Amino acid sequence: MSKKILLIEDSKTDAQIVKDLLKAEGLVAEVATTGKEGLLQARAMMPDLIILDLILPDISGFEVCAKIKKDAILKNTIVVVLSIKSDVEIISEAFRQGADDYVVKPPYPEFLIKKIKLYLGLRS
Amino acid sequence: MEKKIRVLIIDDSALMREALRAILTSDEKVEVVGLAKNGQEGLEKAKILKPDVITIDINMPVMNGLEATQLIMSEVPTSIIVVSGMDPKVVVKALAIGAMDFVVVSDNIEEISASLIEKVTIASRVRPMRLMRQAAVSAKVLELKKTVSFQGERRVDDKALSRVVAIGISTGGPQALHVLLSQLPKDFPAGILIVQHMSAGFIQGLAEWLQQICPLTIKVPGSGDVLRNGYVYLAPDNVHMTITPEGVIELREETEKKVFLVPSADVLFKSVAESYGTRAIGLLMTGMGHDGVEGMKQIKRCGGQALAQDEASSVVFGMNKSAIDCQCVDKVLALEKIGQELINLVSA
Repeated sequence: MSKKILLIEDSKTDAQIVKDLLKAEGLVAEVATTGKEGLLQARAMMPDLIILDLILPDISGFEVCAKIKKDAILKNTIVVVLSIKSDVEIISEAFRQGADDYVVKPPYPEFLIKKIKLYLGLRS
Repeated sequence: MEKKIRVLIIDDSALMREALRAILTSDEKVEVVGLAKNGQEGLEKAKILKPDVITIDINMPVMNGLEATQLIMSEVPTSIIVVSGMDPKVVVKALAIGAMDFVVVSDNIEEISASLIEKVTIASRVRPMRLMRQAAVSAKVLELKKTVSFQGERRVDDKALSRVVAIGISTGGPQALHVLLSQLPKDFPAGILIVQHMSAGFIQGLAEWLQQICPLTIKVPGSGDVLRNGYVYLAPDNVHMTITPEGVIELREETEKKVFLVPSADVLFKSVAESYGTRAIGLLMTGMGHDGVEGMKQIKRCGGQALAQDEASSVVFGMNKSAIDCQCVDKVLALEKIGQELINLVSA
């Protein structure tokens, strides 16, 4: 069964980097460029995994994460935050809002891919 | 002449060091510049030799591979490839703290030859600074993940896993599980993991049959599925099922030729004991043999509860008998009383 990945990221460049990484592994991601769009798309496609940027044009990634984790249908979706920020306060807040994991941008390719595959239950 | 890839090998086994050296030097682009027999020595040599790539074993005396990886990444960041036996937990930890890649070693070391050289070659091209940043963050992430919890508005039916019940069962299992699971309420505040010894091909049918009488969600999980309260996972055929402290199910094949019981209740129980400690409940029911006894002892050692089905209600008094005989069981119960006991234990 093929896995569904949703990437919520407003930067086209950053989104392309992640899409290319995933493509090399035979994985495809849908992209949403705002938080609200991300939430709508998540409900529509029911992804197995969401890669979430924290800085979005409309609402914060924290808010998006919390909404996903409180949603009756989406709450079991794995959310991996992918953000340029590396301070403890930001990482803590991400976990406080329900994130399952946190990866720093730009993502070290092998690292991100291995995590994604582990979460999706795929053998590397 | 093009510069060779300089590699430092860290492994406590002299045999392994030599085997890896032979493999790596068979490629003329690679040069082994040093060997170390433990993490401490490895760290010191890494600082002096400044190799391009380091291969490191996990289990070593004085300082193990995980500690050494963390220190190397903070003091002299280098591309590190973990070369060790397969343990997904350890591999994830190593990657999280900064190792770049890993190679799983089985008995036949020749098998990893091509893969190792390829990974060393790729590793030599990576600039460690990006790795170092990721490693520094990963260490923080691992720590914070353990201590910071989701403080969103808690719903009444929040399903975050609070306790795990691990069940080992064999002959007479389906009927016994039918009785037990039909007694559990919809809001049962624990997750359940079951190893039912069964001929291959029947487990999915069993799950569907049990689902008809049980208000909990029963399924045969895939690797990576998360166990939540109110879920019952039946171990799939031919793989061992284990669980991480985060509730993630991991499935692995048995690589030892002499182990026949797969899935094994011992493997499951040990994993539940290690991941859930005092929040673990082990239950051995009707069945032949003694699979699950060693695992039950581990559950007790780690502070969990141990239950066994009694002789009178068992089709075969084997696995449960072995546990009772080892005196590692807290309570022995008739089949129809087990449900209520579990409810009492998980509601405490």
